[in-house]
Amino acid sequence: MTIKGIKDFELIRSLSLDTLNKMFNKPEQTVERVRTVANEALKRLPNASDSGLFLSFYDSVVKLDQEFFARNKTHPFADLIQRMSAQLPPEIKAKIRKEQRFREKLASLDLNSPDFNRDMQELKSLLTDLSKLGMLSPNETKNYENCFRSIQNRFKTGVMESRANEIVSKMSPAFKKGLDNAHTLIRGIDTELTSQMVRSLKECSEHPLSEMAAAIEKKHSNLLQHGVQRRVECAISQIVPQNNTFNKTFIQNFLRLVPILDTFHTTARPLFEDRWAKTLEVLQTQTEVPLDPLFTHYPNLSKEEFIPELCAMAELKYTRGLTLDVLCSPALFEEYFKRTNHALSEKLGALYDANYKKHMLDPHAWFTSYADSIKKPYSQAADIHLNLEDGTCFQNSLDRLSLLLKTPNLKAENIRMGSTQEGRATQARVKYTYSNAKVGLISIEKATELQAKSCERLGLTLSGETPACTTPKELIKFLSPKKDFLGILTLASPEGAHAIDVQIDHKRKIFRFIDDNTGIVEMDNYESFVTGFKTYLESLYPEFLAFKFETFNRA
Amino acid sequence: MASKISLEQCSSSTPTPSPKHQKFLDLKNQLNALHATKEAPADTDEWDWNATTPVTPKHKACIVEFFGQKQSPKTEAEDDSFL
Repeated sequence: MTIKGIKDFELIRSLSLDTLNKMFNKPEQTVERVRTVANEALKRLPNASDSGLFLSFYDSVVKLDQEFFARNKTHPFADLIQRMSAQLPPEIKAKIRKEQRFREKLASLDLNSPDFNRDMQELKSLLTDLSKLGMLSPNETKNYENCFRSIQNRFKTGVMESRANEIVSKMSPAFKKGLDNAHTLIRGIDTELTSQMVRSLKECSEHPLSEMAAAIEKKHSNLLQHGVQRRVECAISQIVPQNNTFNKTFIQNFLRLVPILDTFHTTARPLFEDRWAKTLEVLQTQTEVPLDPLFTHYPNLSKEEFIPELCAMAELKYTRGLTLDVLCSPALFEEYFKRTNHALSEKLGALYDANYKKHMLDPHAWFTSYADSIKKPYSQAADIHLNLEDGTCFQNSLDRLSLLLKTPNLKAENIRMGSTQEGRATQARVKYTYSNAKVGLISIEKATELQAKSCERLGLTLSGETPACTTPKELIKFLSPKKDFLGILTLASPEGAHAIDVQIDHKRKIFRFIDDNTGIVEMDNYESFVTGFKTYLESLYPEFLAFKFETFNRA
Repeated sequence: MASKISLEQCSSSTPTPSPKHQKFLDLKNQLNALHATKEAPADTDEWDWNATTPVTPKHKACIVEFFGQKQSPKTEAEDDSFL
């Protein structure tokens, strides 16, 4: 006879405590029946033909024991569970140990303990193990993770709540002051919410894992919502008397605003990312160079910079018409979001397209068409260790020019990008000189002269220059299909200036430019270089108004 | 510093476009077509509208008293009075 044949085995394995209590008339009878069946199963285990069934029975007993504990704080099957677990295979025992450890850690969690952070780390690691062992579903795991994250962050103001605070603060300086004045009280609320969450975890640490996951998810989302309400009430209480007619409406609408913003961002971001992915797919069909890794070199061409900026811009448009009048009236609030949410996807799509065309289209088209000409990608903006706040392009260009004057045929891989210590120091002095000129301590001419002299640190002197051209088309007429050229292109816009090395060496077939915002770009021939360089300047620096070549000699 | 010379123009016209340049032009057209949304231009009034329902002066006065107006030097005194 196998354990399958034990009377009541299947019932206990499949029914809930309530049903069993009804079936066996009272809880004491249920306990007795379970103990009898378990003892029988234990007796037969060495010959049991189906240990999976035994395990399932073991799980049922553990669950019943937890349900008993949840109701009357007793563990009627504690000894049985211990005896049954001793009979289980090692891998099952390991699972049980993990679960026990997880429960113990939850039950002993102490916010004031010096080991709190270590305990949270261990809990997170145990959670990962339980999830990998299939003891928790992905959703349940996420519930625990969210709860743990809130505890570790001490229930601080959430991202969307902060956005709502910022939006309302712009409308009402009084609200901003209320938030600032309530700072200490708000920290107190955060601590209280954290304590409540930890208490709930401890209280349900004996429940089945799935039940616990559902319970903490409910408690967690209640506390999050409660937190938003308490914090906004606290800020409002700093500026107006309690129970004012308007504060109730305002608070209610503020509470609605937070999830509305959340929904807005969870709509906008994926929509933008999807559009970006589709564009990248089109671009990738045009070149064999993998574009995603190429674009990661350039923050200004990557989605990591473009999409958050677009999200912020979209949010600004979405909330532009939101006023205190709207926030203080349920009807206006309703109407406002009905209007703004109308055809939202189309509006977001149009916003994306308009900004993509304005900021990304030309650079993306150029980088894709000339991807295989970029021999060494580089961006000073991404080079946080070797860059100064406003860049060091002119000094870097001088450093590279000095190198190329000595060794014109240097291969791209041997040309160092980034700034040198001397270059950074010189640039800092130049910046300081210009700051003195701005406040009238020296003349602007003197500052410009000092900048021009910065080439002397490399033993170079300015030997020639073109007049300032207003367009790249005009500028490239100073390059020749017959004459060599090695110099620096300086370009200026109302916002700033930039410098790029240019080298044309017909005999050695070197046609390249070196830009601290792009890297080293080499073309196969003069014609390709001239058109490529012209469109590069037009695509990447459309706002620049003056272009000038400068050449240098060794002193 | 040695005296510098003025560099002179060497060519008068742009050279014939290269295959890469042609690819660049084609790709620009393709991207423009891909991003040509017509259904809802981004900068229509839809995005910029203010509250459309008129607010009664009494309602407005109460709100101003309650929260203060948008930041401006004029409202500073009003704001302080609620603290």
